Amino acid sequence: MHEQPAIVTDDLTKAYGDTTAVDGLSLSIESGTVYGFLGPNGAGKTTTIRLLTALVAPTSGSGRVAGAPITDRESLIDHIGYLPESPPIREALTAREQLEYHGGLRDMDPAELEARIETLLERFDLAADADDRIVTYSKGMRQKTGLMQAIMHEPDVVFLDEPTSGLDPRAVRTVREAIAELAAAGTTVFLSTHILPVVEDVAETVGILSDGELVAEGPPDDLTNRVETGSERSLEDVFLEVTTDRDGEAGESDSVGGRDERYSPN
Amino acid sequence: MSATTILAHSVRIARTEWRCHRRDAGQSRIHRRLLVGLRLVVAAALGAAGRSIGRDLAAGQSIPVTELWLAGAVAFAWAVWRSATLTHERFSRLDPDMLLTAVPARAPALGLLGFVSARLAASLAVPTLGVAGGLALGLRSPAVALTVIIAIAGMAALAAAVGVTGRLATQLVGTRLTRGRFYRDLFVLFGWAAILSVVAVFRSTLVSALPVLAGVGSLSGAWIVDLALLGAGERAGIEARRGLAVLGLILPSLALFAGGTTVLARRLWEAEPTGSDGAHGSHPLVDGGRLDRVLAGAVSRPVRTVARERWLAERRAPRGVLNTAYVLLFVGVVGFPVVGIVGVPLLLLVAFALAVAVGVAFGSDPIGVEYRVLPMLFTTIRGRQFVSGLLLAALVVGAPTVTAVVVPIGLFSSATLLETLAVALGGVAICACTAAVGVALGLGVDHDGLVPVPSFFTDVPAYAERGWAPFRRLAVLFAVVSVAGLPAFLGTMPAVSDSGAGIGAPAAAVRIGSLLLTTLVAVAIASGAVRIAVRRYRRYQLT
Repeated sequence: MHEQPAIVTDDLTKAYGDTTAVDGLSLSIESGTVYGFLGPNGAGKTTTIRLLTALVAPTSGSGRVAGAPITDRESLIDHIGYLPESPPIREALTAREQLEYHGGLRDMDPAELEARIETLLERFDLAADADDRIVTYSKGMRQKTGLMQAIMHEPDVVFLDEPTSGLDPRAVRTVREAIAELAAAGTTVFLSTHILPVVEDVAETVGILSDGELVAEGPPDDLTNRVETGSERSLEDVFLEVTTDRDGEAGESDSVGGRDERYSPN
Repeated sequence: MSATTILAHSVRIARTEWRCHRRDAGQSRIHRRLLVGLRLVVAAALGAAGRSIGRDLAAGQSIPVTELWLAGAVAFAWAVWRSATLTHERFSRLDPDMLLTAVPARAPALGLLGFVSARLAASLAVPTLGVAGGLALGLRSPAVALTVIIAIAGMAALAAAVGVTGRLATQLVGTRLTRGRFYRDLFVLFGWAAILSVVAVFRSTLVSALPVLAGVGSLSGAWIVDLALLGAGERAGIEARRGLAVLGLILPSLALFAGGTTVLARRLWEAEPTGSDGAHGSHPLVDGGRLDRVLAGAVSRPVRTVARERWLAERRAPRGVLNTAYVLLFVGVVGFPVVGIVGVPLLLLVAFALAVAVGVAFGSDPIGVEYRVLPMLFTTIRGRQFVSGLLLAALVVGAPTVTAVVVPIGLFSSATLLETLAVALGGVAICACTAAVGVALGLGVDHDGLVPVPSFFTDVPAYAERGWAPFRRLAVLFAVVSVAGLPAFLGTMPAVSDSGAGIGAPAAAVRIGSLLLTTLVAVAIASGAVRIAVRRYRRYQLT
């Protein structure tokens, strides 16, 4: 029997007045996979994640995450974890308190919660600072705390918005490994980032958003391996081509197409 | 860098801050028009008063120096307070990393002073024109309008300089001395209550202020009146020498305070904070406490966790507790007069005040308090659990506090034990009602309307709305809980409870019945408010 997609959207649109932040987005993401979500600044990535986590309501269209409709936040919260671009943590608490707070809200068993927190703190190299107030933390330490919070309850689907922002190379590697392990354990990871090598390394599928529209989608290898010429390029090349302004230099790369048509590797 | 260049930079910084302020304010056109209208009304009133004084002076009457000096002193004190408040808001929003790597520290410091002065000038301009025009008309001397404007501008500039320097100085003390900061914040928040209490207690023994006021004319502060009326010449009977002397005092003072602002701002930017927020140690938030042992069977863990986190956050950054100052003010302005005039029992007022204070502390402003973690909360916990957690936080503190205070007072008062218990029960219900209404109102706040502002007792910035919206919400909250308390207030008035005898109801029965009715009304309002709060939580959008 075919397993239903972890994330599915149909013509999802979000408009703020005259501005359309997300325009007719249709996605289908398989369970237990990592979906790399790319796009230039202001493309609508964060709005898309907020739509999928029910933090904003769509103007039109529909979607489901782990089977729950994205218009029903209360049925969605049992299935998701979310790390926004700015980690949602209280500066007056310590990292340990913040994680306990989140675990308590999710009704995690205290003993299991304590063990999970210790494991994560060790893994993300934050054990020594876990009892200091977050207000004294660096950007990277806050990011780690937010990331641990998003994944600590082993959700069905986790949304990570720039999870490697502010992290040192060692921490970036840890995050990369953690994402791979999450996917291996059956968690679907929706990863929005500008760090293209991370996406290239861990994502099974990549979607590129530009001006609210999905302009390219497919496995990274297929996207970088151009069918037309057979030449291999980096994901960065593809990203730059499909997101170049239609009125600008896009005409020079006619093989990729503009925003009117989605770039598909095959 | 030359002084002219630094001055040019400071003007640019002040203008940029002004532009940011205009954009941050986000006032509607109606609000702006109302504000302009209010200023025009104040200007017209001041103009009429000025014209009357001017006519009296022209008719040969003596100058009401004492009254004018007192009015000037009050205006000066207000201007200093306003400048300090503006400095508090704006200083934390300057970006020292960018500014100090671009221009010398003097430029942003003077820019801050310029911004505060401009804001003050914007508030005072229209009323000043009113006074100046009124006096000029009354005295039939256009020159007096000019000297009035010079005098008020001088006072305002001095007030701005004093306010900015004073605020930065207290901030520096707080940065260097943790305990100093604690006592400073305590004084700023509750000092007025302490001063009022001292004045109320020792009022009869205080020396009459009249002899002091009689000597006002000899103080240099009153010379500002001479400066203001300088344009009227001999007709106003002022001493031109004293008027010019006060101008000679203001100008060097301004230079001195401007220098002080620069020194203090630089010290603040370059100082390492030594706040208590760096304290080490975690507090358990999941199970293990007495509360969990008592409530584990009846209240779910997520609800208990919301309550425990709320208490912990309040201990470290007592934002809700600070809001209780408004309750004190409300009870002081409305409650005590009611006790005095209509004879509502003091016991009931104490119970009501305590219950509302605790409800406000834990129920008001949930969006501002949880601002940083809203994306986590909305994707983690259900609306009913969140609202119930805040109610639990209020009730676990409110119920024992109200009972512990009301019962001993009741036992030593003329109230019967049954009446005392009914008051305590009503107090607990009012506490729940306040918290529930506070949460429901607070969840109606737009996420985009909040901005980071410095907070008392902590380095952690708080998120709050600008303008009058929070006060309007607080007024609505007080109105709603007053409606809940109305049966008790009416039923315990001797005039009402004694009249029950006419229909065969003993006074004690009327009093207890009214208290129970208040309990029922409070519970009904709380129940409705909880439903609204849960609905608002479910539909809340992080736009």
